[in-house]
Amino acid sequence: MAKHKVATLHERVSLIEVATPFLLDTLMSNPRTAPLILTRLDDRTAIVAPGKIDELLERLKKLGQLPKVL
Amino acid sequence: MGLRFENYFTHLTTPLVADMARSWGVDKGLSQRQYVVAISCILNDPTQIQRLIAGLKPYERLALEIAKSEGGKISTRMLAIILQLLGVEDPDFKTQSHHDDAFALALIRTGVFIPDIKSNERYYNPNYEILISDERILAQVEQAQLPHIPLVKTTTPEADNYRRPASVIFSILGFMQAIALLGGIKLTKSGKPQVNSLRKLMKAQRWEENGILIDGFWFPQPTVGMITAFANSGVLIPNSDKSMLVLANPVEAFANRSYLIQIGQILSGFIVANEWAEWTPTGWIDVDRYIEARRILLEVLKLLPSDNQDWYSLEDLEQFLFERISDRFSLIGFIHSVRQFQTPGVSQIEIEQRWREQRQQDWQKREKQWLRQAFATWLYLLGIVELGLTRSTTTSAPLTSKNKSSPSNQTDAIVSFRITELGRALLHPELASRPMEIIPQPAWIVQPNFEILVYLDQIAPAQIIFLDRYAERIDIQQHTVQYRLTRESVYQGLEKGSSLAEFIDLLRTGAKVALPQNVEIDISQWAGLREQITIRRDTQILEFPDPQTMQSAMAKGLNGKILGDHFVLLEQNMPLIDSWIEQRICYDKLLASCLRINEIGEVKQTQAVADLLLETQLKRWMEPRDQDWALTQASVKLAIQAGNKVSDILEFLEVRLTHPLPPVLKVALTAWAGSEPTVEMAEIVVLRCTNPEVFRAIAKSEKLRSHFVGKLAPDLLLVQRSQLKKLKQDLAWLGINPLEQLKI
Repeated sequence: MAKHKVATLHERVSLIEVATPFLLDTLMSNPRTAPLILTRLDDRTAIVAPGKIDELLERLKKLGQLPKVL
Repeated sequence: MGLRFENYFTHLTTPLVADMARSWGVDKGLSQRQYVVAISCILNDPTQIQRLIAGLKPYERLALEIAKSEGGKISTRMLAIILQLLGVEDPDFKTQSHHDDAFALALIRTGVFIPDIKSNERYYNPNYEILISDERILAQVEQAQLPHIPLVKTTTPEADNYRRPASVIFSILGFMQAIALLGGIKLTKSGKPQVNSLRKLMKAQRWEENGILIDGFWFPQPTVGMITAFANSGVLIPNSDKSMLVLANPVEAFANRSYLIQIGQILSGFIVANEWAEWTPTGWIDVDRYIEARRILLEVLKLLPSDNQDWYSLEDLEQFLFERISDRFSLIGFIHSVRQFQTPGVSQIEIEQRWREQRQQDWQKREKQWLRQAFATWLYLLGIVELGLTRSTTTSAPLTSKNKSSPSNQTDAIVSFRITELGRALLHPELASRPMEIIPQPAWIVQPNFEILVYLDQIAPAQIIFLDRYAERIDIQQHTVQYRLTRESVYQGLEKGSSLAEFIDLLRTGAKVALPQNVEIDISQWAGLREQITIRRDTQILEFPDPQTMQSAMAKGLNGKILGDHFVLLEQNMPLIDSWIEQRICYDKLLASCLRINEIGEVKQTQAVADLLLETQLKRWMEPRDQDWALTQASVKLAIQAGNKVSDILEFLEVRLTHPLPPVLKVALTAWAGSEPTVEMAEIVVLRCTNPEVFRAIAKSEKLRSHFVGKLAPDLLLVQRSQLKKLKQDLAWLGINPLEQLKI
């Protein structure tokens, strides 16, 4: 019988999702936001450094962005 | 407890119960229990009740009707004052020193009232402050048709001012919104609002601490007044740990109630606000008297005719109150006795005249002034009265910091008043025939500069909530309010959960003219920006070992959004499928320690970990070395240039290292990041002598001392380089030829 328990559950992960890959590239290379964005999961999604969501939100707003927060 | 005498008899003395029973026609000489049984029996017979009521004196019957209008329970003092206001009182009590108690006892002995006494007061300190009538008696009493007080109407004033219900609601909702945005008002340990919290609220409202002008009328300490009123009325309540005052219900829920309920609730809070006053008195005041004064004032307004729009002179009202209740009511809580004016050889009439004159002087300085302030503050703020003004002081000098704090602007110009439609509905809810609410309708104009001009007489409370959600208030006038739409305000409004379409629709529906095209375009662009980036807090992600396993799980019913080729972002509140989960990693706890590092920055991973952050962070700061990693000056510099801070790497190492970071490496990281410590190095010349006596002689020598900078050790002196040749000459004169090297 195939083994079922094969997945890893990552809990309480903060994510940033963007409309275009170019936008995520830009944010991950901008010195103001790059330190707060860590592992990229796909071309439009990345993990936000733990405990840094509010700081990222402020920096995004200063860059003229209006992120939706869910 | 219901209003039935049986619930109160046990707290009374037998003689008092006997007196009550005799009024009901019960024989003398019985025990208390027998009296109680007899009275209870009679109270179940409406005919007997009606007979008793018919035998009451006029003022006793009126007292009963007033008690009924108050729900059957009334303060003795207020009852006495209302009867005095109506000019109906038994003069016997006025001559007695404790006339409230005598008055209460007389009413109790009629059999139709009973005092609300606690059991431990029964014998030693009976308290007749509250009187209750039995619900069976009240059922036989007609609704009170109280006479009006004899105030004569006055002429229409030269100018007048009043607040529309919408303006009142606007102020109330704005205050509630400000508190909601602050998250509540912090309390001290003793339960008072913290000063800092009040200051933040004041700043949000753009109020000054001492007071504000509302349509030209001075309102002192508005923040304290409003907080106190809101707390007393139940609009604000303490949270579970009593550390804050918070809204009892959301602002939207409050806004959906009728005007009368909203404003009536705040009015009830203002009446009992003993932490706030309408003025700054010149002498001492018993602050509890403010509550009584406000109740008296409301009773007086209720006793004015309710079916007309006549104006009444403030002077006449003040004089009326003086004549009727100045012997019983004072803001300082006591009234000098007539006896204090007694002088040998002076007639009683003259004594009473002197007492009266003194009383009038005090009243003019105190109660009369307070009355004016009451009209100018909460009565006006809540839209209950319209104020008539004389023009001669309405065009007074411009406001300055000095005259702002003095109640001498519009307030001094008040000459008359009348009760507004809202006031009549609040004072006589039984007569309110039609609802006063405004339904949502076009009430504003949106201008091309993003400002919104709102007409207060046309806006509904729900529309006020809507505008406060999406726009910033910039100016409030008597009849209009100005808002401004900004990128930030629209963004915050959309963040609270509605859609762009809903927002635009409500903005259009409430507008008297079409929205400017540039405004609609910009709002749409701002909303569009919001769709570009989404931040998700506290998500759950399932990571599978390969895409096939993930697809298999999806086919078996796993719900979520696929990320990359082997991650699934689980939907919120979805029950977990434990059968798939081999391990869990929680990112709001410390992640596994799994690295070792030496002094030269070589890093080894001591165990495999499954979190998604380690590899990214290693790559960010270090260079790969075969199976391991290394922190180097070059790799740290690159990371810093990319925007990272040295505190980030130090924090990372603190969590991930299995041992403390070598201190010298911490120095290196800090220096590589650009904060190089200051270290000094130089070549020096020292003189060393292991013979203590010789060393001491050389060190203390007047001749040789100037050649040395200082002492480095018990046998070591630091030589000034510039003095080296001279020192050698002086040592040679001493017969000493120093060796060129130290013997170590």
